[in-house]
Amino acid sequence: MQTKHCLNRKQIDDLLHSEAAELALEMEQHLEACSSCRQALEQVAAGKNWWTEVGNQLSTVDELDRDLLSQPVPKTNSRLALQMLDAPTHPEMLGRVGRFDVERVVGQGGFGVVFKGYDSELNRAIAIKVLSPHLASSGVARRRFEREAQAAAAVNHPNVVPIHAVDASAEFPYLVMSFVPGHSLQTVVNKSGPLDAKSIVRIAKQIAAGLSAAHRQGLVHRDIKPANILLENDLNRAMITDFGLARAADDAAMTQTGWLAGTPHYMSPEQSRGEDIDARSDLFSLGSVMYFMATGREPFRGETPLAILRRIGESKPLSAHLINSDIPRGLSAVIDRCLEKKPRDRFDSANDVEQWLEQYLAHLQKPQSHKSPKIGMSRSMRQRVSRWSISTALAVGSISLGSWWASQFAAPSPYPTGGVAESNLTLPVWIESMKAEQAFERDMSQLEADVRALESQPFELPPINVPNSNTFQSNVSGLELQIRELERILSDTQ
Amino acid sequence: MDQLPDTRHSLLLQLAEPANQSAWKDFVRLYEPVILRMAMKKGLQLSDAQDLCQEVLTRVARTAETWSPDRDRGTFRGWLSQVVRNLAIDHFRRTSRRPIMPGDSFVRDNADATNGSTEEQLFDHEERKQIFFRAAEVARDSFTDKTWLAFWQTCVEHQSPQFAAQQIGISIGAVYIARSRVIKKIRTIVEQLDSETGIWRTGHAN
Repeated sequence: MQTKHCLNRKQIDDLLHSEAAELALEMEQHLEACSSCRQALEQVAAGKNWWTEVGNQLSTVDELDRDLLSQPVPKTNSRLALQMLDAPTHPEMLGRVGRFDVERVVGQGGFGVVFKGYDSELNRAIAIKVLSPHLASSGVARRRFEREAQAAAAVNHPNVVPIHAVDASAEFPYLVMSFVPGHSLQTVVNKSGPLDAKSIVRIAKQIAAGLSAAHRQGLVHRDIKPANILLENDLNRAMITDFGLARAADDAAMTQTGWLAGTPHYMSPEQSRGEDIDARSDLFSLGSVMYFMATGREPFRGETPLAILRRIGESKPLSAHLINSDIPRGLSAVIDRCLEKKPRDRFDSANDVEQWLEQYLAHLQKPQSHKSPKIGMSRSMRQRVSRWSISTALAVGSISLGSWWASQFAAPSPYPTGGVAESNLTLPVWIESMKAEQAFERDMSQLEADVRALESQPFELPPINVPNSNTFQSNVSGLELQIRELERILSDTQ
Repeated sequence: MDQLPDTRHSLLLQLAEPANQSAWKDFVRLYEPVILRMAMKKGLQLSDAQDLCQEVLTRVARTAETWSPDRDRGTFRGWLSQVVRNLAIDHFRRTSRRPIMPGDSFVRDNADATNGSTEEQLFDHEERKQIFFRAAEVARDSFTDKTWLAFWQTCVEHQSPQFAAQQIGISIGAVYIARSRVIKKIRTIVEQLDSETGIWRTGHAN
């Protein structure tokens, strides 16, 4: 049997060169058993010092680099990627796209492959995103790619990765953008865990600023997630990438598979239901990204994409400060606000988020001189409160009417008469008024419960047991004043 | 910054030769991290380190004008490596000779002292690490996922071949073959980079 024989030098050389795996099968079995052949193989590959130094050097490169290097380059994509390129002009280059030299594959997204390249005319490093063949063959995706990429190219903001060129007519449409040295937010958090409050606010503020600029141009990102946030030189500057590309990718993926491509972790509820979305969908995703920075995990998790989508639509994640006690409540509250299910309950605009975060950052940096900015009630909450107060007012109005009517005819009041002057306050009177107040509170809570029951049908009053007394009436008018005040405050804040 | 367009222009002239152009690109990719890390080990903040890196590379670019293939034997890249080494070492020598200021970290000074690293040693150390990193990065592109993982898990993370084989789902023999292939590739690339940078190092008394 061949496997019993030790390997000769030629076989070893072949093993080190050949990519034909099936030829190696017998030798694999032999190598597993024969330590002298293993030594021979390793010696031919490289001397002992090399083995040691490669291990030592690579295990001590910076953690982030090491982490990236430990993962193999996705090969299917590399092969795919090579298809997309023209032949290289230099042997050291991978190939060419348009007039740009391509050095290597740096990543892969739902829409295609990202290359690192070099613009020799302008002497700068660039990233080239090439639409995958399956998308390039879809007319809808192609047109959308062009439209969105051109819209994105019009966004000029320090927190948005600039797009230098778009070619939608190439066999594989591509766009050329600045190459941002550094890692994505996803990589940084994966590696170093949750960030501190200041970093979170600083990064989120920049994302909000970039979004705000894009939203002003009518452009919705649709795919805000940590992998699409690049941290230039790791923490200094956050830049959003891949504007509008998600939509082009979605179109094709939907038509091909009937389902969405990529991770749904950061989708908004309206997006998860396939409804029309607007800029506020990005705010939800921004909330998810902040949550991820604060806790190191996505707010909505599940075994399958479908389970995640269901959670996004239905469940409320545990607030960030409950998971990571280093996160201040104010920050946690803003994350929760961004994660509101209804778009109208989030902030109104990315600009509002940015403003808030800016003030909050000032507060974190100098708590003595800068107050934490307030975060008001969500729109739905405000409406619930004002609906409640209107129905209360309604109820109270009819009660006071009824009790006035009752007081004209009915039996004497069950409470002592109110309005006792302080100077006349004797002990028995005081005891009586205490009792009256207790009785009032009892009645009030009953009333409150009845009013709550009314909340769903404000215009059909069930019979209410109307207490009948002057104390009650004077307290009720006090309450009415408070309600009017509350309404005034609410209308001011709206 | 005002001088940058000038520099760039002359550099472009110098680099009109495609071979030099690609050498310069490779050069920046190799040495930018070396200078950055060296600066940060010297206690500079990231932004200061970046400024310094820019400064050194700009000076290198300016010096690049004086290179001519006739006068200087060897490769453009090898020559550049020597220039950057001299400039970086020179720069750090100058900055480290400044008087001790209040707030200076003595811990760091001590750490440097215990490492006994002179600027030359620090530069060479970072350069060597970066060469290996680059070589691994380039090598990785030519292997399958399983081959790369077999190498990484056993040679860098020091897992046993048995463990790696089980993890990756290949035979133990395949792990031995895979990692030997990768090591050989990395060795070849490092040797190539060495030969390009080494000529200038030898015989240059500093």
